[in-house]
Amino acid sequence: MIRIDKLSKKYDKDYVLNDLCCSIKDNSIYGLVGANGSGKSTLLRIIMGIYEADKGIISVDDESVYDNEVIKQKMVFIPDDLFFYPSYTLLDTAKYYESMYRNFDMNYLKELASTFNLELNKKISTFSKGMKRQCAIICAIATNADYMFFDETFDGLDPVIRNTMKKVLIKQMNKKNTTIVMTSHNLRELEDICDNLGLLYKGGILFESEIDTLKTNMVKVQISLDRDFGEDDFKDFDILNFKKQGSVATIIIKDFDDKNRKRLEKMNPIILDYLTLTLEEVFIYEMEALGYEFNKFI
Amino acid sequence: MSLTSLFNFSYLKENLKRSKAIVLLCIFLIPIINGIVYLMGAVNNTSFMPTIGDLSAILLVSMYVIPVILSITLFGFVYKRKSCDFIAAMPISKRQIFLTNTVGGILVLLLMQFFNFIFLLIISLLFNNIFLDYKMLFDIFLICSVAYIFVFTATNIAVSLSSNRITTVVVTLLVLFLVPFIHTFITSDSFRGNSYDMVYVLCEDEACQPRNFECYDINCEANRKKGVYEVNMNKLDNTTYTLPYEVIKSFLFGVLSSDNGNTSLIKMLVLSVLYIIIGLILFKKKKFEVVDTSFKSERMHIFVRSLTTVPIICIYYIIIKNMTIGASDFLTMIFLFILIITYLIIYDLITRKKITNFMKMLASLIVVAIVVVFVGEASWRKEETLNINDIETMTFDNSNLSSNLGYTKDRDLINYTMSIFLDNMIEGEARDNFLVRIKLNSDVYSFNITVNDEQYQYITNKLNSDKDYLSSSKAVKSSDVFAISIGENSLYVGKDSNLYKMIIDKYINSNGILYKEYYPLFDVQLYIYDDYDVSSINFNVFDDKEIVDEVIKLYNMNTKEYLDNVREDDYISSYFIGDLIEKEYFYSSDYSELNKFIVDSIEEAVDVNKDFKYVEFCVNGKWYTFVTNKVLELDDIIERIGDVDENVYID
Repeated sequence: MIRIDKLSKKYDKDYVLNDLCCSIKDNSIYGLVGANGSGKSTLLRIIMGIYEADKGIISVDDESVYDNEVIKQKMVFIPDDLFFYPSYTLLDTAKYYESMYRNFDMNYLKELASTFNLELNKKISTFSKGMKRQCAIICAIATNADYMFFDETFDGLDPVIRNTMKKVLIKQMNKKNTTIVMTSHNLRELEDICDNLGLLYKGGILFESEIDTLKTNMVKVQISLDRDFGEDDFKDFDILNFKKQGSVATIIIKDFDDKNRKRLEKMNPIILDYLTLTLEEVFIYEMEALGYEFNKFI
Repeated sequence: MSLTSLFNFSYLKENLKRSKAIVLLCIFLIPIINGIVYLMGAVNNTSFMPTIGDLSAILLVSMYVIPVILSITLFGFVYKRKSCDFIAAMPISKRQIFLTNTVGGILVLLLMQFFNFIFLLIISLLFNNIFLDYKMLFDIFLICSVAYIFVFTATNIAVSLSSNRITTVVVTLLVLFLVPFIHTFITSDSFRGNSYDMVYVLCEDEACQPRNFECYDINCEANRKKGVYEVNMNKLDNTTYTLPYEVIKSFLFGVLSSDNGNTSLIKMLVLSVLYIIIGLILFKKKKFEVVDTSFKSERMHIFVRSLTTVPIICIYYIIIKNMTIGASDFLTMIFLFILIITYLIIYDLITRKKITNFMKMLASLIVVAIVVVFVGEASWRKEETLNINDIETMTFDNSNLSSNLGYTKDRDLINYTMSIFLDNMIEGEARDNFLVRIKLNSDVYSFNITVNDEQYQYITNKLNSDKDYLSSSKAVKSSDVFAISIGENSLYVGKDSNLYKMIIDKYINSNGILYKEYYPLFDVQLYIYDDYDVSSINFNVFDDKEIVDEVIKLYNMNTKEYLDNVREDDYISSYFIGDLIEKEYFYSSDYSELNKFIVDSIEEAVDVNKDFKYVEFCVNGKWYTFVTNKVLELDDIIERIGDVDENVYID
């Protein structure tokens, strides 16, 4: 389990992370979203012990990570800006990881390389941007680390490879009880893979929730009544957003359950449609409810 | 604490593997170049006795480059965010990274020095015209290994402190040179533009008073009345510096040092250990988030930049101090100011990619200038008076002495020598020079004296009967001698020959009292390698007829060997004809009769109890000597075919 308590980090005089608190439970995929410069990469680097926090505590399995080579055996990190030694092939890089990680599985790496059609003996410098990222990710997966951190995970991957990679990651999580933390500035990239999502804003986790809960307890309703109506007619509902265009209103209702459904039906609507919300829409309405303008964050 | 908690061998292996180009360059290139230079010396000389400088010149130059490049390569990841993330995310601690790279770097440097040692050894063994003490090769291995490790560990400190390559080099230079440079600035007058130190010498005894001394001004007369004389003598820098600074100091600043190679070695070793500890502490505190810039804080950047200006301001201080203030000097000062501001701007642009505030730049410059002027003025040495009675020891350096390693405490000899030194002029004809070193009040001064024959005899006789001198020169054992040559043209004596053994026995039995008369043919040089230097003990063997007999045999045998293998294209450049005392250049338009005489007589035995003469000739730069008892016959040929020119001398 990763615990972060009152974590602060500043560059020069500006705080990048400020009193950040968060916990990431084991055997899950945690998505960290936030705008560019929101501190996602810095947070991952601090968790990985690359940077030292100015204040606060970070523990992985109740141990401090900074400069702790023992706990780092359980952790692997793929940054947004990838690094490979210039003359190294995928096999050379894999051997490098193998020399550093005790549980590195070379056979699994070769299997993954075959899955993604990556040539083992070709210099990585000749690969495309997407292929380089695939190399980095499969090397990380083959370490069999308990905690995997991916910054801008799917950046540069085409949709097919992206889906395959997601499947591989999910398989890894299920097979090895791995905890995966991944960041993106694009919420759509994470919604179909993450169990939990955290929104990073101004150095803190502004909003955090399980995706299933987010998606199921919020609903978008399009409704039209046989009479003139307004927001006040729905005051018994936990409304996050109300928009009326002509005689049709679009309402985002939180904590929507069967009781709410029956109450809507009792209002004898002319039109009553329930629409599925995308994760991005869920975030937008949650943020707006908190008084923030979502576009500022992502 | 286990070994694996300190080192990560996988990381070392991979790091060396990825840096293999630089590692191979370090290990092989420099030893190969050094070997080639040595090989050229061996091929181009008929007999080659290399000094430690000949065999380590390339190594000394690369000492400033290779360890710095190696350190920057091994720690190269700290300069880029990408590589920093990659390495720092690996399961390896900062301590492991630092110690693994340090140990790896040291191994590479040791391997390089080992290969250099092997190359030099092979070349030395392959060529029989190379004469050297193999201890020298080991010393080169030892001192270069330690010096390279020292520079490497200093660079590791710089890597731990700075976040780009240029700043690393700058900080390395500061770590290596700033403190000793400031010390030189404070203590050395010769660095400040005086090649000789002006010293007043107090002579209270009659014995040390000069015999030929004239004053040209009233101050001198007033001083003379008090027994005080103004002289110039070099004060040797007694401080032990590290080899990298010692080389710079000697070559660039021309500041001489007394010999202290072993102390320098120990100092470098101790500092290397200290630098590893400091480097480790700093590396553990290093912030990996700061990359591609000089330092995390601007204050640190300004501080280091200010330190880099210290040597420049010191040199400016000396230039300005020695100026006579005029219009052109004022322009020079403005030029110097513009120069240093330009330097600061360029430094900022290179290391930080932006220029710091001009007022901060100026303020730091003013602070450094104030400190330098204050230290410079406070340390500017006043005129000092040395009392001759305080001289503890005196050493004479002259190639004709039995030993230049010994010292004397003899008051008579010290006073006598000082009296000669204080003289304005020499009495009679000059016979020889001595480089004299005196030690007093823990300082060492050196000066030259020119002596006439009487003075030469007095000094050498005194030395040869001086207990201190003899005991201090007894340190040289027969096993210390690595080569022997005879004559002015240094004909080397085979180590396994009877003559070699005889000369050694004579030297050992002489108990340091060696025959001093000068007979060029029978002058013997014993070569000793000691304290990183080749020195020679010269003496004459003419008083020993058995050795003389062997020497003549060697001369003639060597000449016969040449004559047996003479080639058509051999070029004979000079002929000399000599007897026991002197030799003269001999010119003829046709040497055929002389050559026939040499060839016909070369196998004849020479009786040392009878008169003899010799002919010397030079073939392709190598000298051959033919000795014969047929003096009359030789004289007759010389008279008939040529003309002896006493005014021409070719060495």
